[in-house]
Amino acid sequence: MAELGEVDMSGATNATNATATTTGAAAAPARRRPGGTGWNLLVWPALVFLAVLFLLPFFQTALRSVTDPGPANYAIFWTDPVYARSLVTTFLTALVVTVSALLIAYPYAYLMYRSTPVMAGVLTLLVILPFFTSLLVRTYAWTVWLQQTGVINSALLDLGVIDAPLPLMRNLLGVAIGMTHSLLPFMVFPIYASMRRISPALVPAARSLGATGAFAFRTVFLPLTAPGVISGSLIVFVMSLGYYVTPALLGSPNNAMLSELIVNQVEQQVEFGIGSAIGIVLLALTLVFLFLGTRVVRFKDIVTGGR
Amino acid sequence: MPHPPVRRVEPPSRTLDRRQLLRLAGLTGLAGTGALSLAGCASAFGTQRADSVVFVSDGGEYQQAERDVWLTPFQELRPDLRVAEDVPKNYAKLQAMVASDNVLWDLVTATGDFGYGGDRDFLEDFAGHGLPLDELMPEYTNESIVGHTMFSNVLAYRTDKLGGKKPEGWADFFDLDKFPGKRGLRNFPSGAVLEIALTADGVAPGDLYPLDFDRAFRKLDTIRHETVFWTTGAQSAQLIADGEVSMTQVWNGRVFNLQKEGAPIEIQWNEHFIQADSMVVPRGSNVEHAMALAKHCLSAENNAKLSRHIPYGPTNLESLKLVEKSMLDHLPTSYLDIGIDFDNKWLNAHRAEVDSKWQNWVRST
Repeated sequence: MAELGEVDMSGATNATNATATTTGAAAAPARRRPGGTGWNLLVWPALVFLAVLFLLPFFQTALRSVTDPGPANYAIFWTDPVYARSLVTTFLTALVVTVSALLIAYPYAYLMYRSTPVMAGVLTLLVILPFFTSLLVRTYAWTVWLQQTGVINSALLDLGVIDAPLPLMRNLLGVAIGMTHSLLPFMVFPIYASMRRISPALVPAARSLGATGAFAFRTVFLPLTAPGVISGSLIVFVMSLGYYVTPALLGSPNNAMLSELIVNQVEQQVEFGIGSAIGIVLLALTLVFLFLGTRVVRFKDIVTGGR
Repeated sequence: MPHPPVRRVEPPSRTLDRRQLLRLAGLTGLAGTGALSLAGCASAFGTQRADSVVFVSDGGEYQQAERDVWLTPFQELRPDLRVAEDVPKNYAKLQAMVASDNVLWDLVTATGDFGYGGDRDFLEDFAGHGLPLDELMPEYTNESIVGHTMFSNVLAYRTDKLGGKKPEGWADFFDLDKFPGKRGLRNFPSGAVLEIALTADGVAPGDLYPLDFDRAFRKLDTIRHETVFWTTGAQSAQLIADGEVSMTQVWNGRVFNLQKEGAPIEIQWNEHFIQADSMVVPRGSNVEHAMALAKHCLSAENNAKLSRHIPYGPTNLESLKLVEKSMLDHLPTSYLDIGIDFDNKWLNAHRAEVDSKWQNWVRST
């Protein structure tokens, strides 16, 4: 089963990349070399790809949500408490994941920033390493660690630290751990990118004017990394909203995210219309959050990390 | 092996606008599921669909067994056909195929309440194709489904976690004082979980239907804090094998495999819930080839063979005499006297209600 969130987001990320490329090309004519117009053609495969595999299915889904059998599909959010509650769970989970990813990623990115190039390379590798294994394998690996008879609980029981196994999974905690792990790179890299752009002279300059290390960090360094923090948080938050595999395996039925309810409607109930309606509501709310985010940081900065 | 049954989409004869919608989807290669659209392209490019018969089941060891005892020999008998397979079965996909006139599956495994009531609008009838319908157990056969394999929802328990005591049935499953430890139940409303709760609460097998939802949920509430819900057969096996739960609802074939590996797990066959996997032929498929393959699988001789590979029993009454003696202890067909039947017709007619009630209970805190 494809990770719904990842599929959606790769589409969205591609879309923004494509937009960035187009504007880049449009802004370029002053520097255009002979034959430069040919480069514009390179954007077409991406546009065709998106039109066929993202926009068309999207419109089909939107259409179906109001025609199969009718707009009453949306009423499920009012008539059935399960869906409204799951909506809250979905956003709560995304929030928890975003905050925990930020708390882990910021010090990590700072360590990368302060390291030698070789060490920074090793740290980068460690962040992207999880991408070399499948999401399903990674999630099952977390089960081995987190379950009642898992590595952590067995060790703590053997050491006499606890008397009964801790509930580390089949709850929000387990979901948050698994999702934070797999989304961490999306937080680390924008923050690291924004740190890299800070002139190394700025903090010493503040120190030379009498600021303490902590004061210089807080008033000079931290604000300059804000674009990276905001873009990283937006990406992680938005990707979290559509996650499916991780919550299905590490969560429990009573904290199901909307993606799980969509699967139930489509695969088990064959209610394509209701499934589409839930998907559209999730997408609309995601766009609202993206829009609010762009009030704070330029949209282009979200994909470029504030370059 | 069992798969969630589904509510139906409108069959093609009823609503043309939806059919056109789906056909548009098929044409643009953008139907809901990737596999469907890819397969759609394949048929549009003219692979020899007419000469093939596509068999669809649940994958894993189960479909491997079906391949070994049914499909490969059938291919040898019929070199003029191309016997192909797809996986996994999915009723939503099946119904979308029929509704869009783009049927790529010919003989599909169905479980539980699929194939009754309105589902039949999507299926061909078996009558008149020379199948040994008289020899099959009548409970699992109607005009558009033929049962082919029996399995069971059993209570499995860890012999090392219950202090030497042995649970006698579902009432003990709900007795957390006498039998401590977590419980595993399937997160699926028409896969026995409600019937299990009612049976534990003292409802006689004959009085299970119509299901008393409130009573079932009241009973389930008593163990909810100690219950782990599973969705796939692999998950249920992992839960009991790792000792995450001390007792679980599970398909009997999964326990057999764990026992072979030496896990301290036993089955309590009392009050097991019997189910059959059946075959269905989607409307508009290669009916003639599908029927020929179905006939091959259901003959007394061939239907008996599957149980050599996997502990699921035949549905052909003649086959029961041919089953290998060493497997008898592991087959649900050997415990029919202490088993309980589903009312698939009732479940089919109340599918939406059953699902809605279940979702509301299982998704609440």
